[in-house]
Amino acid sequence: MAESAADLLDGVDLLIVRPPSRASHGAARRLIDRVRERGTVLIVLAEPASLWPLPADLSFDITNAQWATSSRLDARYLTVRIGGRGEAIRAGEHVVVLPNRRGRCEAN
Amino acid sequence: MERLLAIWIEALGEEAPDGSTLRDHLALLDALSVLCPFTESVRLGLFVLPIRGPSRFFGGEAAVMENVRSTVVELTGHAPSLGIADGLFCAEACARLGLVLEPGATESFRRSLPLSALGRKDVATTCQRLGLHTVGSFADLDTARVGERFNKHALVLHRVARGELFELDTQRDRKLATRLAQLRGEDDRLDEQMGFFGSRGAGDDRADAAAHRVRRRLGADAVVVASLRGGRVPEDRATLVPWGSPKSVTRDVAPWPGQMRAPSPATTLTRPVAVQLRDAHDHPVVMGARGFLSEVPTTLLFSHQLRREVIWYAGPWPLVERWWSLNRRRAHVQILLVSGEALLLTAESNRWWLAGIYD
Repeated sequence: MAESAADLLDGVDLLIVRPPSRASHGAARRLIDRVRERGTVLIVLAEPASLWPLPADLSFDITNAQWATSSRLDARYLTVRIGGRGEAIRAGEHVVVLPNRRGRCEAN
Repeated sequence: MERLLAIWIEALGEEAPDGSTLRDHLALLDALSVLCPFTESVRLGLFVLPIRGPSRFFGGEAAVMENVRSTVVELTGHAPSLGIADGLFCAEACARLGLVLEPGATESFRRSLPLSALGRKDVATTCQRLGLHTVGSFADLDTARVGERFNKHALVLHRVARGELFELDTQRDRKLATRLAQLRGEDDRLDEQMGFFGSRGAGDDRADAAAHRVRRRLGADAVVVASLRGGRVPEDRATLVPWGSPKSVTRDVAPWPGQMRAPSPATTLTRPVAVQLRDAHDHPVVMGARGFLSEVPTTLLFSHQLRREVIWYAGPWPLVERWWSLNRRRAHVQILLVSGEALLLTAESNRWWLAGIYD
């Protein structure tokens, strides 16, 4: 899996991976090195967060998810806690609507 | 069997070296499709269309034939030979003779045709030595005797002769439709592969190379492209197509009555999971004939006795599909679990299925 992810990093500018089990430290390290080298973005979907062994530059954690309903499912309000290591981080909690009534994402 | 108008244009039966034959076919097919959208180009020189619909629209078969004749003459300069009968085999034979059969006359017409109409010289010669000269006399032979005396192709001919099959294999040119589509520029198998993100950009070459490497490593269907298309239920709408497979050109924008409105479940189950809905007294909740739930559901029960509390539900929304079939009454219900997860369930004849997860 890690080799395929590395291959894909050569081809695209944004890569989303979901490790099926805890990624090994070495494999994660090599992927991150490749990301730095290529200037690409790697998004890791890790639930629980321990599936990914390295600290991320930017992390998004959903702390609360609430569906708004009327006669049907309307929209879901996600409370997202943003953390990380960079300087430009606006750390804190934000509410994002995903999906909204039109099935899209909306930040307020 | 369907009553067909066959249009035989002898001058187009052989392909001219300059490629004009195919171009004429395309122009004719377009023009005839205006008269009847189900017009088919069966093989070079032969077109066929179901006559019932157009004759009601134009006010009689004669009016349709007049329209077709003037269209063909105008476009190609050749007068077509027209014939009407049931089924392609007899329709073509009629077209070559310029005959219009009355409804119900196809049977006797077919029986009166000479054996050579079946297009196999060996069968025709042998039968003539046996004193059989018409399709009808061949049809009267016992099927087992035909199988003994001839090979399996003759059995197909025999079925056509008896009116069990309505066309001969040799009547259709299976490659013609593809060639016409290529000429029209619709067939994209010869075209360049589309990029991952629609039209092709510089980055797509890089992405292609990476996808090729992954495919070599993990197998042909490891790389897939996600797309949305028409459909009523979520599992019909979202599709994953192996990367590199021919892409359908038509974008499906048709309205689908009964389609669920956004938001759609992010996860759909290709194989629905059987679940049960129970009410407060632990009785099964069923959907009545008029599309209402018998009770308010309070518990969701998975097959392995896993219970989840239902705190809210919406629906049912009937799926208006195959409404003519009584066994196919389906409806969607959205439920919210106490854990905050939203699920999409399908009800079908008192059974419940987990169809999607809004995760």
